Amino acid sequence: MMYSRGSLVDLLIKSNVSRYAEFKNVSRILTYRHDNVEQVPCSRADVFASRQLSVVEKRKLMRFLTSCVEDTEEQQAYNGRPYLEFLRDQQLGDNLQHFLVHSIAMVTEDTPTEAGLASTRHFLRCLGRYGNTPFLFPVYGLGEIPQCFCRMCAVFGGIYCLRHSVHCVIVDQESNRCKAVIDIRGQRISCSHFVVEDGYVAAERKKVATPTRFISRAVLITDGSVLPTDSEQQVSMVTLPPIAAGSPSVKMVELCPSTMTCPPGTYLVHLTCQSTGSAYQDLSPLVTRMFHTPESHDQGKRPSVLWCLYFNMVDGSAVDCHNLPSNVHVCSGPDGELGHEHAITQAESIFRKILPQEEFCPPAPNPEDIIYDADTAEGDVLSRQTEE
Amino acid sequence: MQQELLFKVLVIGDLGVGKTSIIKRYVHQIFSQHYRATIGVDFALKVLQWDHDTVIRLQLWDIAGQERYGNMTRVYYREAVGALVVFDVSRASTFDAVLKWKDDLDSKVTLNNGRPVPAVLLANKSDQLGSQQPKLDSFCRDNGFVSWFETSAKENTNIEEAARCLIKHILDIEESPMSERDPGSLTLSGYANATKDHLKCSSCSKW
Repeated sequence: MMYSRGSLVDLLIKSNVSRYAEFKNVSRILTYRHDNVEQVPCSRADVFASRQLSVVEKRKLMRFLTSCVEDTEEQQAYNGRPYLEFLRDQQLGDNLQHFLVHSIAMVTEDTPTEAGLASTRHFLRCLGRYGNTPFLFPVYGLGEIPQCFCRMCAVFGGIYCLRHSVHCVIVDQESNRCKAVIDIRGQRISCSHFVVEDGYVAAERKKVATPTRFISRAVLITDGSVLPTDSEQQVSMVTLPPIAAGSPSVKMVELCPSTMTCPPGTYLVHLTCQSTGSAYQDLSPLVTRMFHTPESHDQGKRPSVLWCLYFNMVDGSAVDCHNLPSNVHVCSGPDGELGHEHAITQAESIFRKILPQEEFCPPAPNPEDIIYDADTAEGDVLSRQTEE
Repeated sequence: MQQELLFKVLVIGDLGVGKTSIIKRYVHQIFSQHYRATIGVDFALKVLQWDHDTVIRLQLWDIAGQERYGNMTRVYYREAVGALVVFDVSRASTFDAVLKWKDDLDSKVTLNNGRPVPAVLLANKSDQLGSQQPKLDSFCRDNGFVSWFETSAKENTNIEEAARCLIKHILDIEESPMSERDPGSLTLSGYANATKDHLKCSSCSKW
């Protein structure tokens, strides 16, 4: 999932890598409460069209969404106090408070006001750039994004080796630099820099200040939408507040077949939260309530789960390594955040370390603008030794 | 009114079979014995006045040096409407790889109706062999190629003919009714829009 204004979208546009991908707008934001799935009105048009809000609520919400964009003294008085408290004092009522905290700011009830307002403003800034919600999803899935950067890299002379994982690295003791890597087929690949995901780095080389954090995830294939409409092609972002005290808040994405991630007649559902227990413990109670599974007690009109998988993964946002050769650069794996701010910042900082003089992802020329000349056709080779 | 059609065509095959030479010969009328993979260019563009009222903009997508690892990303294949699969008649191993490339192609891109995109087989470097080569008609029929040609980028043999054959098959498919592309997807601004517009223009004038 990508915010329509964020560093990933900016980078895709700036570098022209966006030419390799297509996107779908997330078409609606949903939330779940009192055992019901509801649509969250977030744009001006949604607020007017909403049938679940009263006229008074509509007016209040419009006024709040317009006014919260500006920094006021009244807001500052709430710095350090919970966002929920600020909202309550705005006389918004339970409905609107729920939407604003869980679905628009996507924070928890004890998030401080300044952070809650910042998230709300980010959400509002992203609205309307490409559609009615702040989110974009790449057609064929997020796996397209690294492929797009790989193609750009290849076009400029870089080489990616799909299905060759690294078996070991060769380090020169004297200079403490990595000289080459050996892949699983025994092929030696020389390198002047080596970029590697932290999962490959041995535990004793990791600085662990706090215990490793985990993310709980579930992937489901279902036979229907959690909120069916006339259109079967909805892409939904569902925010799920904690179902009990101490349980995590969950983000769910429901993808329709036109995202090219699942066959016609099915939906692909991803659930993600910070782990408090195993992925199964964290997420299955929710799945059992929202969908029809073998564990469900009743036979309500909920979509059936055709297939599911629960797993935990390390939250990659807070890993630091030491004791590594000076030309080995570690990047973290996925984190639990919605956007990709951390990954982009990290990619740029690694690039700066390797090539301090070069621009990061400069715009690639349009192939149709290149004028051919037999003598210069061979051009300069831009060599890249980064590893895929 | 003149209609302008834009076609993305892939040129695939093993390392050193002459893919880039074929593209350069066809698009730029150049042949060089020593060349490196083209740097910084996604595709070469050939503009053809096909008939009185049709202009075809043919994008020939080079594989950009990725063939040595045998797996292409799906991004390279996306929206392609045809392919030239190339092998080197002087190296049997490159012919053996033809079916692997055809499989990779068919598994990563299809026409809107789910059928494979038309592919033409090129037996390149035909100038290097004096004797008569075995005919590949039944091989093509069995393996889903629409046709085959003995080509030489060096001597400029049969490259135009192979391209015309592929375009003809692409046009035949274009003319038969099929489902439109999903209108709900969007591209992010940047120059990509320019390419998209061509696509849109072409389909508008067609229907």
